[in-house]
Amino acid sequence: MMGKKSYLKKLTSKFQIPSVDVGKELDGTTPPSVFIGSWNYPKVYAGPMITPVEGDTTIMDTPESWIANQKTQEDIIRYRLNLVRGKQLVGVKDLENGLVEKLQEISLSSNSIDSEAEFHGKPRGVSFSDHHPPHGPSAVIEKFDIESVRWDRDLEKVYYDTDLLAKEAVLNLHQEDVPFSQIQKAFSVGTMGIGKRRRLVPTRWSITACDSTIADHLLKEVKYYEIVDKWRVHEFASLNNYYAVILLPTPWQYEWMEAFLHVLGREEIIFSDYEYYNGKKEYSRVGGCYYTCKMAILESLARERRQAGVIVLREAYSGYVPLGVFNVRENIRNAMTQPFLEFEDVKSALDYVDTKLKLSVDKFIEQSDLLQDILRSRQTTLDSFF
Amino acid sequence: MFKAVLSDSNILKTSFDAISSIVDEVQMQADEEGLRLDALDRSHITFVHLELKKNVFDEYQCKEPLKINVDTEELMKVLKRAKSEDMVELTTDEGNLIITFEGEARRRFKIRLIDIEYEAPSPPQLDYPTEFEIPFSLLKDSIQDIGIVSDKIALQVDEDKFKASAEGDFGDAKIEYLHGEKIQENAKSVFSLEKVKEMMKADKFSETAQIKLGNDMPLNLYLKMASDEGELSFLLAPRIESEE
Repeated sequence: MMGKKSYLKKLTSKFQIPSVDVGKELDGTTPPSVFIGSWNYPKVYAGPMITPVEGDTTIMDTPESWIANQKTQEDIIRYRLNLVRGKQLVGVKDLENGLVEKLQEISLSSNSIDSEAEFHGKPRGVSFSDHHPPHGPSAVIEKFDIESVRWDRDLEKVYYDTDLLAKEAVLNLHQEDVPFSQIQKAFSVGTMGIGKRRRLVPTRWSITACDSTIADHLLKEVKYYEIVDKWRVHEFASLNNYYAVILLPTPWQYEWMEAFLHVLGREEIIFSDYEYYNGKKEYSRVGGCYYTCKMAILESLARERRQAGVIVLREAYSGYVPLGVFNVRENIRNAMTQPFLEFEDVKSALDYVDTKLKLSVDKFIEQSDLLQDILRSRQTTLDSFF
Repeated sequence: MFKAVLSDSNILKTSFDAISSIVDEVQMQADEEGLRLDALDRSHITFVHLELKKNVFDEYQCKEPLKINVDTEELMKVLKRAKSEDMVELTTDEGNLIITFEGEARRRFKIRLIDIEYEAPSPPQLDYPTEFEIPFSLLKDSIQDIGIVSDKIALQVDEDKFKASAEGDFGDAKIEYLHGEKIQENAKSVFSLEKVKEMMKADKFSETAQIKLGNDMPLNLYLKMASDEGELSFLLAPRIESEE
């Protein structure tokens, strides 16, 4: 069977969508947005993303507001392909570098910033990835000027606190309701953590680092809470995706399953991963979305002060374009804040979900580890032996 | 006044390695007989019992019964710092459990006592059809073998053999051991491997494991120190096949 990585590679190489056409010199704004590549680590391509669009362009790099404002897939792709990525090869520890200092400046702002850039050549190409939202053409950046920047107060605070662990900084900012995309941006340009340990973190790694840091912290808390008393189904559909989150009246356990249906051609393909109560040690075989989804569900459980087991079933349909893991994060967040349905047992919960899925729920069960486990046998408690 | 000195720090280290992976807060009870602990994990799946009678200790004093509530993770962090040749001394003051390691240097740690409402749980009293002994290392190895193919482990015993087995999606595994004991009945129960592994961390407590097994009954695993003065035991709820 094809692995998820190669499947998505195939999928993302399919998109030949023209991106914004700009010359060697660009006058515009940065939403603000930065991009740190992972190729050639620890010497990586880092730089700003700039759009020729003037005025308030924050929406172009604020995934949190896309689904909330009913943006279509076309809107999102248009925003993103309007972003030109400037890049320079920089050592991840080289935070004194003039360009990196400017990247830190813009990442600490929550408003878009007037910018001027000069590239070595005409920016070319387009980038689609399962991890980060797409972006437009890129080129080596030779000159980057920005207007003066007003920093976000919460981000500024962690920037100046050089004794605060990066992990604590991420958690504090999340606690203060700073949008995830801002935390992750600021994290990726080395503005958090113990002074001498700060460094650039490639965008894709920084997303998973922030997701899993927040998820681990919330999970510790959630394990103290009482278990939900019934089976529940939360659901949401957008951007050619359907998500069903099934909450189980059990201690924490979690399975993520995603089916790609006729996205490339005639394929029906399911990827999945799972963990028991004590979590998993190795990196998930399905990639960053595993942690993103876990984080978004734990946010909701922590808010409700409840514990549950979790099974997530996702379907992506024809027309689906990989837009980055924000897609998972925001869809799940939306699912968790919608009214939910309650069921007396696993069978009726699955029967209901079956009516909403295009693929038969049996196909998911066949592919699953945890769900199969739950259907075949159940963990008893010692209480039943008194 | 409470003071307990142990020349072998491994006993505490290995016990709490297991205990801290099962429960995150615990109450130890000290009285003139010794030190004991009963705890049930949050999901009520594993029960753990530790008892160290005063003769286990090289020196033991406890004038009045005492309850020591600690965060097991914090306690384990300290115990991990013990070197195997260190003497370890436990005392308390107002608000702290004090752990002192005596070796090349004298190292003292204070762990804040926590405020918890704690009612020491008592385990269910169960009658088991079978009871036998196997080397602890064999049990631990079997669990690791099974881990290759599955997240669940079936433990069974018959007249001749103790068996650990699992069926996975990509393969099966089976370990058989001639136990050489008098067993009249067959017994089999299935357990979560993740839960069994937690108990296996106490591998330095005893060389033999005493096991009580029934059909779809909790696993009773009993470890006894050679001196007979200390015991560590676990009760683990089984997984049961669905009726459908």
